[in-house]
Amino acid sequence: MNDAERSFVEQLYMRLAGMMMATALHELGDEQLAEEAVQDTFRILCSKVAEVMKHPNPAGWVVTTLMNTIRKIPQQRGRTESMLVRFRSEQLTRASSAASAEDELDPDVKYADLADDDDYILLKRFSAAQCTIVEFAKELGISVDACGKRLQRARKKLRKYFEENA
Amino acid sequence: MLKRTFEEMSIDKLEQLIHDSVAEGSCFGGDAVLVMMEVLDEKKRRADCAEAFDVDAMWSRFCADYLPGAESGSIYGDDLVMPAEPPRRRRRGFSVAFRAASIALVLGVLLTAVVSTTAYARGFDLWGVVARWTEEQFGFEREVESLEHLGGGRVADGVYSSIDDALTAYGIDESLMPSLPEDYALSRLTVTETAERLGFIAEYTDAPRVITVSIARHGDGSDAFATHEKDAGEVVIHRAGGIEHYVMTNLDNTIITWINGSFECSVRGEFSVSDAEEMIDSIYERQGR
Repeated sequence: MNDAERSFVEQLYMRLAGMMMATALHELGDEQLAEEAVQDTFRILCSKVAEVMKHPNPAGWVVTTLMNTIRKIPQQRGRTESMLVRFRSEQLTRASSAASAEDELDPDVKYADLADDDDYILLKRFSAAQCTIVEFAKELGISVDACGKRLQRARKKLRKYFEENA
Repeated sequence: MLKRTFEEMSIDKLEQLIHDSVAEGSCFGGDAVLVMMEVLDEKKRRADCAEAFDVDAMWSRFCADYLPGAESGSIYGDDLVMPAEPPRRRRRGFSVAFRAASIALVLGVLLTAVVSTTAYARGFDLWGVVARWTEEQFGFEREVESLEHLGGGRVADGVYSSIDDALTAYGIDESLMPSLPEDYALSRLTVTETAERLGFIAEYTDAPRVITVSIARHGDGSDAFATHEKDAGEVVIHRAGGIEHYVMTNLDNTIITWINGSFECSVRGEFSVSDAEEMIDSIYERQGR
């Protein structure tokens, strides 16, 4: 961002962040998660700052984005957990089928790539930790950006696995 | 004028309206919610019950933790949809470019008025409004962008004893309201009116279950249609009264939504898809109100 864009973001931040925190906290019930929703909203603003600067009501745009973010975060977490539970359940089913089969088929050959995948393991840890992405990133000693990208990659791999093995 | 309307509301009422808009996506858009938030903040400060957040410290944390790499957007990825971005189509190969053919097809459907149930993902042009959905969201949108914004408005809460009374009071005689399962009783009815949109939201309760009925009349060129969260289940299209009604699920809830002329309508609650189809049929079977 250039100086004008950064100043634009900062002004909106100072005007809105407090009210947005109150709304997010009311909806999400957790202060850390509420702050993450607010911070992520402004991150989205930064990615589109040039067009939002031309918007007739940038503050309204920010609030609309916050509303979308507040709705999506718990939904995405729920879906991630469902995918992880389903994947684990399928692993266990295959493992127990193989254990009772006379032929020693390795049931994990098909899934080993994903089960051993670093991003997938990270996603499992994140889901179990029940924390925000920024808290998790600090625990791992990586940037929030890197952590978010690895988690997104892991979710995509899980979705691809389910599509391929439907 | 909208601000003055919100200023007359209690803190609890404002919080409820904001919650309905955020959680349900069916009440007010971001512009109006911003006004609500500002009024709410002012009221809480006067009542000395405002939450205290260290915005300067938050800004420092934003710059240190969230700003690096911000050009890639949300840390939650593409799953989070930005305002004014059309949802992606669910199936490949579909194109809305055949506007004339779509309109002809729709007019044909209206003339035959066949009641049937189909399940497929497509959008078609009806009164300039297109239905689009993905695995996660459903919404109507107008093909031409509109830059109109909310200005002025009023809210009537608890004034009418039924949606039918409220519709009649506003001179609306279209068949819009379905018959609901027997044990549900009206628990809340709010009418909101702005320069561009007249909205009716009613909650019917059979504790602990709630069915929410929303009817909105959009002004010409308005594109402030609601977005509905949905799960990955199919969108079922049920035709009745010459209109296509979309039925979808979001975990335990079933959502029905449709466009009738300038009216955008939705019903949401815990009922089955077959119950939904009965409700839809009942709209056009009701004899007067």
